[in-house]
Amino acid sequence: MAQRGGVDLFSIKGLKSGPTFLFDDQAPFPAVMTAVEEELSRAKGFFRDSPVILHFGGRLLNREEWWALKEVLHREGLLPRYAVAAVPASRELLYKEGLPVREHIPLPAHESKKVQATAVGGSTALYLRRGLRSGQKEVFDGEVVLVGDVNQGAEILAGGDIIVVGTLRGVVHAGYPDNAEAVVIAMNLTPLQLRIGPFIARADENQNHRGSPRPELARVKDERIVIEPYQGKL
Amino acid sequence: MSGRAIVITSGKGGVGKTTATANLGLGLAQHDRKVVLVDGDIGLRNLDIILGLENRIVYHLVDVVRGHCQVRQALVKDKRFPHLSLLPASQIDQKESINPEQMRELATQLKEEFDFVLIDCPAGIEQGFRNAVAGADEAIVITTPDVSPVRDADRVIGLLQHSLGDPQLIINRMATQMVQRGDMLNQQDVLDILAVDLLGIVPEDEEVVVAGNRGSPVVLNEKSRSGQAYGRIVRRMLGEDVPIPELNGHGGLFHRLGKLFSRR
Repeated sequence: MAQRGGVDLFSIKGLKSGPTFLFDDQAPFPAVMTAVEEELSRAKGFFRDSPVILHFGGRLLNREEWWALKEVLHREGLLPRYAVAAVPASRELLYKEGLPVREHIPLPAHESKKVQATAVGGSTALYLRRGLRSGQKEVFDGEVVLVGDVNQGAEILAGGDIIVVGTLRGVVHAGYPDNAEAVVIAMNLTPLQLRIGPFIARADENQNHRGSPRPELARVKDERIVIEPYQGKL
Repeated sequence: MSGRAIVITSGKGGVGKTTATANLGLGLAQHDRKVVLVDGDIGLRNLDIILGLENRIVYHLVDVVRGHCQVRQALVKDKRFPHLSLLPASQIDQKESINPEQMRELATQLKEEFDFVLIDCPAGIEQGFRNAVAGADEAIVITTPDVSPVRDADRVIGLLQHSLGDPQLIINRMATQMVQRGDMLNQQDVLDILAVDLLGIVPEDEEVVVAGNRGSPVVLNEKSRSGQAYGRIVRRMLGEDVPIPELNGHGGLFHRLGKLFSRR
């Protein structure tokens, strides 16, 4: 099996979350692709029609590389369920290519050195200790906690809840694509538009309302997004 | 010796980058600093006009980068202050005529000779912006207190943070009466969004337009309010602790434009 300093360039793990393809994130991509071809031909179609997780670690993936890989996966009849990539640009690319993405998933101990993994009660959250400015975007298939402001023109797209310890002015989508149970909490909740699961709410342009900021919670009730004061519990 | 290379940028066009560059440059020269103004807006050069130096240009930035002339030959000395020089942009070339690496080399060379290298950045966030930023060690972001320029300034600050860290902010064209009526963002509204250090506020002033057309920037006019504001900003750039006068009143667009969803 092709290796780099004792690390496999490509390996398949049966994790709790499902069969996971681990791609080495340091070696040149063509070398990794060769290892993928070898390993899959050895597997003799064992994974055909199974949903798999693609784990890219810290690799900065470009579009050509992704297409090359996608072609091989397609040929082998593999169905990518979602991808895991630590690099935001890689996540953005994969997301635009129509694949759900996560920043990390828990790996068995000896692999987790390379990827930051958090597992509390089975869920993963993306913790960001900085604000987002106009033009910046975070995509994450899970909860997002951000300490700072999310400005207008910035975006967060999360599979789960979104919590902003600061002012939320940008557009956020919690529970993407269809989880209406998700909530958005912010210290100061003043977005122009808010999306939860399949629902969209717009700022009321006529309402004249700006008291002192207080923590608020947005959730879906009776097929509508409503905002209520955050009382310290959900 | 190595001077400070500062890029003056905004994202949005028309908020006063070039005017500010000219005024800050002249102001620093008034304090006996050696200053060079680099017009980074290749293809749309204006800085020479605002400074009233258009008729003295022989070579330009692109000539220097291509090795058609020495830097020294392209520098245009100001007619009022011998300490101040301009490196004009080319009017016929494109932003792509130079690259960030060449700008970096040029800035390094200029810093050896000048205390301040002020780079006037073109509008936008494409190649021209990348070139202008590449040569700089610090950044000053200019915005007017309006929603769109502030949004674009926010975008630019986000882009700058990777390379130059947090920039300083100048709020230009603050119209006190409009703020008081609640028709314009106030200083605090702008700072809440952008969350960077405020270098100064320049009031709305017709004199700026007149001065630009005459090629004699307002900082030279001690009676003008905007000229005085630039004077204070220059002293802050030199490390003096000069308070920023409140141009505010107590209005602010956000107080009137309360927003949001129906609340229960």
